[in-house]
Amino acid sequence: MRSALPAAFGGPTDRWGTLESRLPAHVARAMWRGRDLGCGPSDVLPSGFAMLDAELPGGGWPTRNVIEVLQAAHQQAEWRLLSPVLARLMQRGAPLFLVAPPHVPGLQGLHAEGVPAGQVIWVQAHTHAERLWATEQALKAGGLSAVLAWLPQARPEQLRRLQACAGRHPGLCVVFRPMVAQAEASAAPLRLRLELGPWPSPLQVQLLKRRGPLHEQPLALARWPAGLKPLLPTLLPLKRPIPCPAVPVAVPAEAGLPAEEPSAPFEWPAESPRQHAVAVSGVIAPN
Amino acid sequence: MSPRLEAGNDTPLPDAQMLAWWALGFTPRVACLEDAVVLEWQASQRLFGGRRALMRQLEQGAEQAGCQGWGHARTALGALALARTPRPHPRQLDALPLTSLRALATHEATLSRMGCRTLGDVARLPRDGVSRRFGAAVLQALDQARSVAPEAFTWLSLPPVFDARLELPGRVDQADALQPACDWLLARLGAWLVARHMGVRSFTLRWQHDGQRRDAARSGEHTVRLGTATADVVRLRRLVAEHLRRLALLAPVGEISLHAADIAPVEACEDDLFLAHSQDVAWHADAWQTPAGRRHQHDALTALLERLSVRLGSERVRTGQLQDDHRLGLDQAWLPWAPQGRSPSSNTPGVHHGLPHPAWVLPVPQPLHTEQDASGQVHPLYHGRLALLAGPHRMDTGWWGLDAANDAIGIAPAPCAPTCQVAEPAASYDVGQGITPVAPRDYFLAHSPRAGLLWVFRTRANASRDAMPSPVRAMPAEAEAWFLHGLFA
Repeated sequence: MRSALPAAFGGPTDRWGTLESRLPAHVARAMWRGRDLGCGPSDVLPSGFAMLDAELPGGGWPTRNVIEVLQAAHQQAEWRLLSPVLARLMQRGAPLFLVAPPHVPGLQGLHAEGVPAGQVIWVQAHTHAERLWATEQALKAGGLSAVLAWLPQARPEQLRRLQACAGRHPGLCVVFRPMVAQAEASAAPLRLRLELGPWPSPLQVQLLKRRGPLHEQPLALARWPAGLKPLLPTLLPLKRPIPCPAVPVAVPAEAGLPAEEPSAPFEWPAESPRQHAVAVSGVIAPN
Repeated sequence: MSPRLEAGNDTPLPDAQMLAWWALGFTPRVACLEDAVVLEWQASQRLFGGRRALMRQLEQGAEQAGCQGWGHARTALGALALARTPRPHPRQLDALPLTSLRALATHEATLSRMGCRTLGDVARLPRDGVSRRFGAAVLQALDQARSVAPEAFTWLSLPPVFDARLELPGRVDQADALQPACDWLLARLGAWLVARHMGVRSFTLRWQHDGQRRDAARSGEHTVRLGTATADVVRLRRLVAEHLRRLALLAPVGEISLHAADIAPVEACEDDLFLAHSQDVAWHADAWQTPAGRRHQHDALTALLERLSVRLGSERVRTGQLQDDHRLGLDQAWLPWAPQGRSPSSNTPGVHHGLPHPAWVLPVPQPLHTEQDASGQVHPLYHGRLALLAGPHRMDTGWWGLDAANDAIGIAPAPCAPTCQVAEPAASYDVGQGITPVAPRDYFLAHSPRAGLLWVFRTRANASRDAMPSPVRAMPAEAEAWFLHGLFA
């Protein structure tokens, strides 16, 4: 268990720390203190974002539970958020299950994100009842690495039923709902709001509900869509989007690319919270 | 020593036959004796993991089948006698009551007045007197039970082909009401498969209509196909339930029959040291690390996709496949999942590098509204004015002509043979709905203030007018047309 508070507010250097050090290791691991982020008995999968892992209970996405992601109607940012964990999860060979996605998945783009193209199953369910049934059957069946369901009309009692079914599913289960569902109660133990910030479109994640203290400040996660890799040399230097409709913007030639790729080609160079806060507010500090 | 198990039940003969078939999965020596099924299992001990394991499996199976009792003894009649007595069984056969053997039960009244309460008492009576008074059958039954005289049976044999029929007690109008009868037939099919050590890949359900109407058909049939050979009765029941839900009967049905058309050996997991036969293997987080776990996961996935295909329709459950095409929308195909499986394509096209690939593709490119600013430049709009970041990327291809199938989603028809590649792309690359060559497109990466990064294109105005959708055709010829084709999620 990691404490979310710094040492000045009673972190691990207080008197409880000495008590913990005297306990056997397995007992100390299982002990939960009131100010800690709660961790359920299921495994967690690292999300690929260090800042997000620090805020998630257990240090990653929980398995055997429903994760509810709320998005605005016209914003689609699912793959950027989930592709690090999906890429690692799908190395096991089990397929990815999509229930009623809003658009057709682009396999080439998903392949660039790390999701193998032959391992994607797409179920088109036109009615709400069919979507719920397909999601429930997928959770109960097993043999899938992750189940992603887009359920715009789900009601709280239906989500509770899905949460009960997800207890047997060893992989990831994510339910996408519209932003208006924020005011409703939900049985999912983890709820987060996903938005796209202004240029350069970082992911803005705010955890609305989690097993632990309230999440105050939204996180800004820096990640370009992996499908944009050929255009990164053009995009990275841009401080703001240049509105130029008719004049063609020349894509730099191959010789203009840097000699070696940066170590994390899809991350912005700096990932400190201060710079992101500054970037979001509109004043771009020089890199 | 030849231990025999006897599982007694009083149900009519057809269930005893199902029990006998199930028992044939353990030993070839199975016979029906009076109202029970006897089987000799001494020779099968080593195969099934020892005496205790085999006894436990037999007892569990007998209990699940609904037997009233079972017993183990050295002779068949002795085991039958034990099965008829309530538990706990006495240690000696001689302590069993008279009712446990039918030959003695008929003379029970007389024997009890003579002071005999148990089989041992009858055995101590003088033999010639007993045979004179009660007949030779009593002595023979006693001798066989006490293993003094030999027993002979006609062993049951399994029919080579499974074909069972059941007459329904009443006429059935709805297909859903056939479920209990189908469950009964599937239970027998399961027992037969266990005896044959095989799994079923497809079976046919046939029904006979009552011949009241002259114009209606006399019979009907429906074939159920599975992805893998299986002997799991629960999975078969659920699948048949889904099929029955979509079935419509033309006339009331009075009789149904089940015919197992295609059977195949079930893969046995010999390569697993720790046999994990429990149902929960597929739900363990580490199941993918063992071959048995992977096999369970694959079976569970196949069962899931079968059920989804039946309930939603086979064209709504699709798996993705990359295509050898660099155009967006045609670089992938979504093929309906087929129960027979598809052999992996030998030529897997690679990902096209050097091109941006959106993670979401619109099946039909969406026309965008535009606005003109003070300087006369045209800006496309999508939840705000779009700012173009990179481009243009000219796509001027497809001129060799594609049949416009109006199916611009990129779904190719199902392949004709398992080994053939996807058929020629039936998707029309152009946005219109006519048989026209494709207008060249300039693709741009655009940023919308509220919707993120988009993949839009602009078609040139001097291309063929017929290629444009109707709102564009109505615009003056000098105008450009902007479309949204993909979203970078």
